[in-house]
Amino acid sequence: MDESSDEALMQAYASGDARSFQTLFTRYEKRLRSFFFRRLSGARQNAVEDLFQITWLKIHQARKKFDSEQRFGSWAFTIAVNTIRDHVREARWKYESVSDHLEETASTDESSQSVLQWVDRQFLEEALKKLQDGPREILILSDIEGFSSSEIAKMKNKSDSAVRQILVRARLRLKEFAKLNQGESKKNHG
Amino acid sequence: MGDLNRTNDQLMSAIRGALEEEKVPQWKWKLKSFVIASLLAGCILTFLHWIWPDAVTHQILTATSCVWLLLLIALSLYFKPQPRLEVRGFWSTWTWGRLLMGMTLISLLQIAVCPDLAALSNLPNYLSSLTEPMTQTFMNWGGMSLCMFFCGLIFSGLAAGLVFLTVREAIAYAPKKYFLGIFAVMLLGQSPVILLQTMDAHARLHLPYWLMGSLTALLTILFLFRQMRFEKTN
Repeated sequence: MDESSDEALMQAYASGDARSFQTLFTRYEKRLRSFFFRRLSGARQNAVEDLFQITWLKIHQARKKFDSEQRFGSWAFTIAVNTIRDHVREARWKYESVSDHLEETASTDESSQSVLQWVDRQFLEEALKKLQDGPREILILSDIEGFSSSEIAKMKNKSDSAVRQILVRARLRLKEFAKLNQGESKKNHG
Repeated sequence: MGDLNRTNDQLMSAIRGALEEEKVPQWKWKLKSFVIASLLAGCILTFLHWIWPDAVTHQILTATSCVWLLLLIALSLYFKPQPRLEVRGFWSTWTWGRLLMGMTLISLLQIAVCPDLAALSNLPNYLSSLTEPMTQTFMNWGGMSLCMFFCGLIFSGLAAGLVFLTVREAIAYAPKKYFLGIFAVMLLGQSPVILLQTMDAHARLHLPYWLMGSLTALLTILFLFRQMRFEKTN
């Protein structure tokens, strides 16, 4: 198994090394596919596969432009996000314009923590579908894929503070869904 | 799971193939494009000369040169090293190459079926029977102008429809930004016909009507195929 960093593999791939490409593909195949599946909730598997393939073809086309100073994961997911933006019409969502007058949330609040720390994984998959496209995408990139808010800001062409605000709101929404879900479970089980 | 493995295999194979193609020196695939384009242009010149032995030579040579140039561009785009994989919504250089090649060859068909369009001399009798009834009908309706409008509408519409069927997978939920490029390539493919019309003083007068008919057809087809969006495939 090749232990080289993603960036080193990408450099080799850009020079024409097929094995480096294969290793990178194996490392990121599941992550990218899962990202598309979660992001395009309700989409048919065909659509997910199409966008997955388009993303890799775009990575191939742009491989010589890859700057080894940046993280490969961040770069690849930027391409994935742009692919979605290009090909899927997004529903308008309220979180797009973030007011400067929003209250800052205390850092110890659950809404500043990754949702994986306080929510069941199975419930998360269902709850993500209930979020609008924009917040869902940012939440997936942050809490599931592990990108920082600054990386996400770069991918989405937004400010860092806007991304953090969207994350806070998305996590609060999930918290509401979780409470509702808990309430319904208690009712059903008597 | 089988489908996912198949997708992965196809994708990896296509990209590995592209990396192998890149190892071939650039001049080799450019030479290949040049040779094939020249052979095709030679065949076309022979065919056009056979149909119109009495046609003005410089018109035939101009049309053939234009076709040769377009084929050279199309084949260069087609043979350029790249992953050979058709994916819905993805426009690669070989997709553009196929589109341009298709439009160019259909332009030739337009000239062969309806020489009035390009103001060439009359077809031999066995071929003119194909177009004479249609031409007469349009001429009776509204004279040369309407005839040229309908010629543009019918032939460009047929051409556009046929070509879009060929690249329909790429068209499906393709970004809007590609549509202007598609339109430009389709017009480029029509350039042999446009060139022949501009070379004749009489045909030149009615060229705007042919262009209007062509534009109407192209925009209509583009609009219809734009409806094949991502949401429609869900």
